[in-house]
Amino acid sequence: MSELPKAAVLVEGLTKTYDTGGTPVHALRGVSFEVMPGEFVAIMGPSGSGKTTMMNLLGCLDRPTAGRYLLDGEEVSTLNDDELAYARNKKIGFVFQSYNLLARTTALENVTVPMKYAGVRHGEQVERAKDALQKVGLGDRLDHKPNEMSGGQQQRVAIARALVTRPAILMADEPTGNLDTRTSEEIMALLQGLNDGGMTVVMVTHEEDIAEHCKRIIRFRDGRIENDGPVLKRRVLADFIAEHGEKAADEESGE
Amino acid sequence: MNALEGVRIALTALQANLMRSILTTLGVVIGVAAVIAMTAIGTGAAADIQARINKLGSNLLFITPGKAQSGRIGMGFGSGTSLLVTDAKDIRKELTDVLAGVAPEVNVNTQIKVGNQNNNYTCVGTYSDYYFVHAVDLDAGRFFNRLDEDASRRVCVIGGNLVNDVFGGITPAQCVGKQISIKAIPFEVIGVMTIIGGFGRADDQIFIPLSTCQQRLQNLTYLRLISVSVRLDLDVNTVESQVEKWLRHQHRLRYDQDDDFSMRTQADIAATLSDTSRTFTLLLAGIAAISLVVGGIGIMNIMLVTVTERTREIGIRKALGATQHNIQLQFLIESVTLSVLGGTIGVGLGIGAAALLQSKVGLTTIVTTSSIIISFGCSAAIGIFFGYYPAKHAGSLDPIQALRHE
Repeated sequence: MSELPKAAVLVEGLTKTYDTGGTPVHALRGVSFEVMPGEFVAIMGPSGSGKTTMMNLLGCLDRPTAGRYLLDGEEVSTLNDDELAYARNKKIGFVFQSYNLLARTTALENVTVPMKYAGVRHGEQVERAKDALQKVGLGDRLDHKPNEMSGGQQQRVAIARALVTRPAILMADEPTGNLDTRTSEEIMALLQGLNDGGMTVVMVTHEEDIAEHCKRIIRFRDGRIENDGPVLKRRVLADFIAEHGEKAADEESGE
Repeated sequence: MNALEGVRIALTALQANLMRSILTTLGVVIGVAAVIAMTAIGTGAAADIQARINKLGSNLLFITPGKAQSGRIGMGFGSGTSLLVTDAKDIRKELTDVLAGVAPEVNVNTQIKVGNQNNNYTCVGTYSDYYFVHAVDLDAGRFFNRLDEDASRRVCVIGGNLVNDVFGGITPAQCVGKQISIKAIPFEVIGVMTIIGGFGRADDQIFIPLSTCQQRLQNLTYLRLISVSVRLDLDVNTVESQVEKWLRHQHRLRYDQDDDFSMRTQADIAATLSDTSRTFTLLLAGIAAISLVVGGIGIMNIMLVTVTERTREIGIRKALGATQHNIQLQFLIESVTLSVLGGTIGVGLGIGAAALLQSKVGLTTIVTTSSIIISFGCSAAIGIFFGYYPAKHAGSLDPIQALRHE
């Protein structure tokens, strides 16, 4: 590669002001940073520090009041609603604290949902969904509905759903917030495995020991970056995918 | 996302809430079934009337007196005094070259007695021609003839209902030969008419020769109606004007005077009746259509509840890349699917109900293709119309708010 690799995320002077009638609330007051492909970033900060707003902006769910945001090299801060939806679909894989799977819908169907909006052929949808579920170690739970699975399993379905569109970046909002310590480690091991495979991961957390699984921590306070630096004593877990993922998954893990 | 994918998403969502989906369609099911069954009844009734009219033939002509006026109040049908018994007699005598039969009618409401039982019935005095002018069917015996008339015999033909109502528990054949007293004068039953049913008045009447009526019961001067049948080889309308001209001359009307009687052909009456039955059908269909609209409102109601209840789902879908249009389409397809499904079941149910009414209740029902197409089309239109607002609302939800919704 002769040219420099483009940043997965590039934000410059990002500002978000909520006008809730009366006094405006400054959630973000000019934030700039860059996330290169293959990074594993934790966004931390106390409540009210602007990390949730940051996540909504990074996830293309919201538009900034001012500033620039380049996602995978593309300016997204000026897109309209439909273009934002397209960007979410093509470039971002979401993982939420409360899993956000569709109720009364099987794991397999849940994983196919984003592909339906991407115009993937039906047969291919099922194939890719199966592969993704196998990769997260749920190849034997394709027909289970969310209420038939544990929290950790549901979160793994959610991760499979985030991966299945082959996004440029995986965004996780407190992915271990609803899980016990052991299951949290399982999820972090999975995310580390994906990151080792080349996936860029940005996650919000307020737990220090969870953040230590990442490679870099950005700390927010009062709508500004307080601190941005690498994790010095990184906690590395055994590769989840190598241990639990199945054969079909291995072929894809290099992507 | 293409349309097929939209249908697939909507069907999966409906399946996930199967019970609610079924209950939602119920309103449309009932609405469509009602429209089809009601129009089937209406159309069946119209066909019944038409069949009866066709049996009488199209060569009938009805002459009624002009309406009598008491001050400014019309006294109604048959109350006029311009049609005389002698008119009928003259028509029978002089218009034989154009008319096949003449059947005047006088009505006498009277008490009849069988054994020690008294009943009130209408006695109709008429000519023997009544038999074929009105295409009378007999269950037993015979109609009176010219000889009975000329001799003013005390004979009568009874309507079909009298067999049970008056004699009770004997067959029509056993009625023939029985004695009944009309105004304390003994009459012999010589014939029993077949029950016409439905709108037939004759079922509850007693028919006697006009001459007998004049001499024995009441010497009436005025007729309420003369039915004449036109000879089959002649044109009804030509004969109608011939009869009119003749009767005007007979009544000595000047050229600038209006007719003091009115004439209607069988075709006129058929047109009036089919107009009436069309109105009747429309009325029934209208009532049924209201229930269809109510069913549609039911769909809108549930869809609105559904959108609120599934706000989280909408948030998830939007986060995963669904556009406003995608969500809108999903909910619209859901409501259309529900209403079309309801329409399909409703069509089946409506046809079933019509068949049941025919076999169990004895109503003539005719399910028309147009009622199926229209009610089915309406149900689909209702799905679009009443699904649009909830779908639009669903599509416009903010993904961040929707995701936070508990």
